[in-house]
Amino acid sequence: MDDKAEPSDRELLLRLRNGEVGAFDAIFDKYRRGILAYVLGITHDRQLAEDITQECFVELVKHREKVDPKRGMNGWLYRVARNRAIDVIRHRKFELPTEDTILIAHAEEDEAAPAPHLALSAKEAQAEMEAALQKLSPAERELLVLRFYGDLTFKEIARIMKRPLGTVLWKSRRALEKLRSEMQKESQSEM
Amino acid sequence: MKCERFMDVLLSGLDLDTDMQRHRDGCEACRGRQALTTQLAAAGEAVRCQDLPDAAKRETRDTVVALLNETETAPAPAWSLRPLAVSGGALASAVILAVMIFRAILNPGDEQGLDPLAVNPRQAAPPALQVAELEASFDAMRDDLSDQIETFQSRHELTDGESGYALRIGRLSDRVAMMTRELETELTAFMP
Repeated sequence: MDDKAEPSDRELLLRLRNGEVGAFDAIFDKYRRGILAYVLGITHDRQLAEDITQECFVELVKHREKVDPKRGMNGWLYRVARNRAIDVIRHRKFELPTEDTILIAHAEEDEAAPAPHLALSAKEAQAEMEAALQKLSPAERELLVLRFYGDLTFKEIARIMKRPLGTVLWKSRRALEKLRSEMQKESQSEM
Repeated sequence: MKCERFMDVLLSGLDLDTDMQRHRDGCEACRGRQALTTQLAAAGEAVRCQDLPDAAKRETRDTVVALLNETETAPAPAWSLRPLAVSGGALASAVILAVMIFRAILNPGDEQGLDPLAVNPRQAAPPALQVAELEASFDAMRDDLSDQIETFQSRHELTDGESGYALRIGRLSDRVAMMTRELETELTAFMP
């Protein structure tokens, strides 16, 4: 059994401020998949999501003195990711994701070799889910992506989105109801 | 199927996720929602299985190592603040919209000098229609306001403590949240 406790974000940040590359590696290992998933959920562009993810971590290192250790890096990284993704989308409004781009994104993801037990059915479920997610408003989609793709708690989401917890919960509930109704419509149309 | 308890749990505060889970286990209405969230979580897990390509990892690390090795990093302003005129405009429109929410929700009959709560139902549209309209306008205006604040934040990329603007925006968000709570109370009282 490994009793070595995982270093806290605060500790990692303080070590990063001291210039420890090892601290960066730990932070990068801990958060890069979550950030990538989140940005991918917003942009639906694999290459772009990778670029933004890389940029987030470089920004973290550039501004390591300004990140508040008490508040953690999690929220900071997601906020930067969010701002970057929104900026890019705003500049690319004419290229809003369509089902085609989602399919392309999935084709590209095939190269990423997911865990075997998740391979086929999860991919189908994911494609179906993402198609339904596209029917939501950008704000609703983002909220659910943060919750389920970013795997964040509602409290963290409220901090990242700078919205009151009650609003996040209310919006999340509404988004889930809308998603469920979209998926029901979808399954009825397939019958 | 609706579940009133679900909202209670949602709004109850503290250990939210645990409370919600505990509640869902015993509530038929919420089990449908649970099935959906499980499916979402599975989709999320599949997405999180993905990783950056090794080349991107190396590139990031190289950039970071170079940054960490710089002896005297003179950090550029984290988030450059763009012209005040823009932020002032965004703030002003947010405040105006907030006032509009109050006026529209609390005084929809204002133009006629009527108190909405005193409107004779026989002279007005059917209550169900009024309530639906109220809900729709309430949702739309709240979303509008939230979006404006969000747009402002993302445009300026303010970080906590970065400047007085972050504080002011935070206060504005708090005010919107407070107004939302008040409006919800008013609406609840108004509804049969």
